[in-house]
Amino acid sequence: MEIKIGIPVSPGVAIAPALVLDSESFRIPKRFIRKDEVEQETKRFEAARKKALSEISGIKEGIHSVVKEEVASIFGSHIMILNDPKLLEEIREKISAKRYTPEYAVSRVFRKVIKAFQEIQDAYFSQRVNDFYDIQKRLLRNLLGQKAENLSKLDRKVVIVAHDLSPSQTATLDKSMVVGFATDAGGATSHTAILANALGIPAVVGLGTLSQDISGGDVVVIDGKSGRVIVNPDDETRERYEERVKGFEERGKKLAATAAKAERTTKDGQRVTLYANVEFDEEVEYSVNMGAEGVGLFRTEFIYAKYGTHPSEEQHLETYAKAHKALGGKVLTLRTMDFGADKYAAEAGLDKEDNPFLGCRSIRLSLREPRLFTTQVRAILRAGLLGPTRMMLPMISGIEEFRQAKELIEGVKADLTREGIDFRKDMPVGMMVEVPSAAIAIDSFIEDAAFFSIGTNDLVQYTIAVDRNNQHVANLFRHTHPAVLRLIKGVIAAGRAANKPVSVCGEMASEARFALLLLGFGLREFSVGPQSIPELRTILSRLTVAEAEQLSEQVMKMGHCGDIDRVLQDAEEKFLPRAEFGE
Amino acid sequence: MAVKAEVELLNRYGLHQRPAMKVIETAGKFTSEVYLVKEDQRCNAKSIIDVIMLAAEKGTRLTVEAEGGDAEAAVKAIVDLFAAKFNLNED
Repeated sequence: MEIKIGIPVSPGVAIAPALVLDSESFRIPKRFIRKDEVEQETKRFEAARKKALSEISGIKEGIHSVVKEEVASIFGSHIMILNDPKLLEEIREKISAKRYTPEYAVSRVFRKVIKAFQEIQDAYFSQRVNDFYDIQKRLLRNLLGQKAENLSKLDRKVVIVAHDLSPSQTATLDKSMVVGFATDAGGATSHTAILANALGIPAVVGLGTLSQDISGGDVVVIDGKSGRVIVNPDDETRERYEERVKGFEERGKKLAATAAKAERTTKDGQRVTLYANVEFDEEVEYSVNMGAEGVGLFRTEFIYAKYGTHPSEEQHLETYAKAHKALGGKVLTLRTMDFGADKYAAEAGLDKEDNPFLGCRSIRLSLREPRLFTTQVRAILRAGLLGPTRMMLPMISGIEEFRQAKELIEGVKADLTREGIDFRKDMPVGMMVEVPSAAIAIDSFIEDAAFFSIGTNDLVQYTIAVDRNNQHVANLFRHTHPAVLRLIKGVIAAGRAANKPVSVCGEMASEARFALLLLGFGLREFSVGPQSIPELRTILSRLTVAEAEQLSEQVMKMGHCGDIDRVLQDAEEKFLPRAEFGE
Repeated sequence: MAVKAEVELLNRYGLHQRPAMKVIETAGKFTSEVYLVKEDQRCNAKSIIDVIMLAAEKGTRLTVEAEGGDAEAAVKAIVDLFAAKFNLNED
């Protein structure tokens, strides 16, 4: 039994065998295959080897400089190593006779060779070691890459353990079988945290070297409240946590039952709308079941992860149609693509960026690559005929950007009209408020934008100048920083004054204690991870607007994040005592 | 029937990467099994890892062995390669 402590980012408790996804260091768990899998696994190894050979030949061909001969010779030796009869025989033997997985066989055989080279005390030999690491990595990357496809069909419940999770990894993941996440890297608002919250399963991040210390198949306990991750728990610990899993499920059921009966208003009758944030189309139905009154943020990035960098209009439309079907007439807010330029760097003629977070991402990339943008816009406009739909533009920093995007949208409408394709002509186009410049100068958008949604994750990051995924500074990432609170309050007030809907769709809205504060600021629309809806519905129905306003006034006079957190925690305890539902 | 011949490693830096690669290339042209033997170490001359692991330095005496249909030609080719210092310009 081994206990590790990380940062809890999504509550809940889970117990299941680990599924370890690739880490850059590629320490591979000792795993075995069945006799009837030998042939197929040997083929998989051969395919990975062939791919490695063609990759290296490609690199070798591409070298042209004064160092050509030297460098080409290094890659020439890599090709020889990949064709080395003794090496291949050993690996094949480990797969066929010892029934190792190809990954494990490769790592064992290479480790042996590397060790032998390290034992020879000679500079030349210790340099060669790097060649072997390089080739091993190439083979493993190819092996794991092929296997990644199988993640879409898991045959049992698992806890996902990884160094870090990328959107493309999670896009293909069979989410019905994943009960928890544990990652080495990441902060409170990393992709893993967002995904886990969306799925309503526990997650712990910032675990250091967990993915290297664990073997696939090891039983893992994830405690998403304390941040504990226990590898191979003893019987007593395991039983204790199984009890807690039950307790957590019961709490969820009780809360859901209470929320179902709760008014969709505050205690004094003020209507409050709860929307869901959706990361994958499959979640829409779950959101409705959890009590969502629509989707306040439909992240469309998974479409790109699923279909590649240029999904077609029909692929977009199909996805939105599925969402509308599950929503059955409830509103669907589609955010246009919101990711960095890294995927398009070559096509867009962009160099590698020194500061991707300040670079050509999100709406900036959309405006730079209009074809990418207009394909999606066409699908969104057409989806408008299938149910109430809103289009939301991310990362707007100034009115010029917003107007430029609107012009492109108008151009798309003209195209569709010319082509005789039906679409929703009066589609509301709103914007995310997540860049401080937009929040500060919110009045400059009031005329143009149909609605506003405050993205607290990015707003906090850009306001405090802190990378939320950098574990050394993640502690500075505070939703309750007075600067952040003032910006949020200002945006809500401006929207209300102009009679434009304002929602908050960041992580902040989904935490009960922050929701109380936002209600006090005048917020009436919340967009949150679906599993947070019952808790939010319950607590928001238990206080009056006046009580919330009193709380927000008190907080706005304070300057210390920790003090503010405590005041909010006490308020949460007052309206939703922890003891009431357990946990 | 095995064919054998003795060679001496003449090139300056011993049997390191580039000479080793030449050995693999040459041995790979023949269907016979080809070996290099240094004292009690017997290595497969078609395995780059094996050949490099011999760690043979300048002046080392090695036995070239081959077994198979084209064994004689294989041994001759390897012997010639050693004599030509692997056709490398090491200066």
